[in-house]
Amino acid sequence: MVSAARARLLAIVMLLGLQAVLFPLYAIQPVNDAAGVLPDENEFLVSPDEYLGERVVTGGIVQQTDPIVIQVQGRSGTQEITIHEADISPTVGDKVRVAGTLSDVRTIRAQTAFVVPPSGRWYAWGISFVAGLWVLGRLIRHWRVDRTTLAFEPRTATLSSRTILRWIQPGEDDNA
Amino acid sequence: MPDLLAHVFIAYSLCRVLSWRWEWLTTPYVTAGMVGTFIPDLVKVKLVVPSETVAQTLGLPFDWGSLATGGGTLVSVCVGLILLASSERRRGGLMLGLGAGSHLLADSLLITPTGRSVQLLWPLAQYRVPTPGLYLSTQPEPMVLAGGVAALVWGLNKYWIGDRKVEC
Repeated sequence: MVSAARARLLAIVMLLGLQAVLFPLYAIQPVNDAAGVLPDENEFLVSPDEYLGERVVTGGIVQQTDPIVIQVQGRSGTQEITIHEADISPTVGDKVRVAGTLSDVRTIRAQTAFVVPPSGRWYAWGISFVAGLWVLGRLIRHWRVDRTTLAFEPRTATLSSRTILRWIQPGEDDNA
Repeated sequence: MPDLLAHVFIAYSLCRVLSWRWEWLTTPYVTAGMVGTFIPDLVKVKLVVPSETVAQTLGLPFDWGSLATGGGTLVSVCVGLILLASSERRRGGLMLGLGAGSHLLADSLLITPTGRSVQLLWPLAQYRVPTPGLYLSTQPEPMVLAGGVAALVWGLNKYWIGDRKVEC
């Protein structure tokens, strides 16, 4: 039984190792227009001259609205980028995502741009948290972990909220 | 992503409807499918620890983004597979994969500035699938729609089909 747990942990460590290799691999992914991988802030902030006149994609929080200036955060640091010809009217603090031509070192002539207001970001956070609680609740009620083998298996009977309460306020040792 | 709640509603509906066909697909497996939808969103770890911070600490190029690609999701699903008891691997693993897959598919319909969205085949191919641009991740409409469908499926299951199932 202990060996099952050990084998399981070993396999997980190996998979996490594989996952860890993918992070740098993703970061060094080359620009590939045909595949839809455009130069972003990690490319054009570092060597803007190389991408002048090319189509780029980025996003950031609006600092000024006339002209639209966004703060872009890349691996090399933070930069303010001016956006021209965007068909949007954001307010300061909104998030803007934009694709367009890098017309100058710190200027993008927009082709497509859209605004994500802060309320939208709060909404996505809050509602996702609710989803997390709901599914966590279902997971605890429908699945159990075998402590000797560290394996998840379905409960034979759904855990009732009364049993969960008994865990929190221990009284009897019922584990059904 | 549409918000996670929308993803969970989609997975619930999908798995519950499949349960009408597959006898073995009982409520715990519906839950497994719902858990699966969280897998591609592991990428949100970037909001807690930004990729730039890790890159600076390690002195290596680093981007959490791979977690939301097809390949990264597959590796995460495999971690889930290992965590399942061996007798549950086929069924539980299938449900985790279904949930995660439905998340990636729904994400590939998002509005993006480039008109391209998820890299379903990365690291095998860089190709980002073209997106019809149906919604923003911060819009409540997909969640309301998916929630309505989920409620309908729940009701159908409980009052129409449910006599052979114990509970939802």
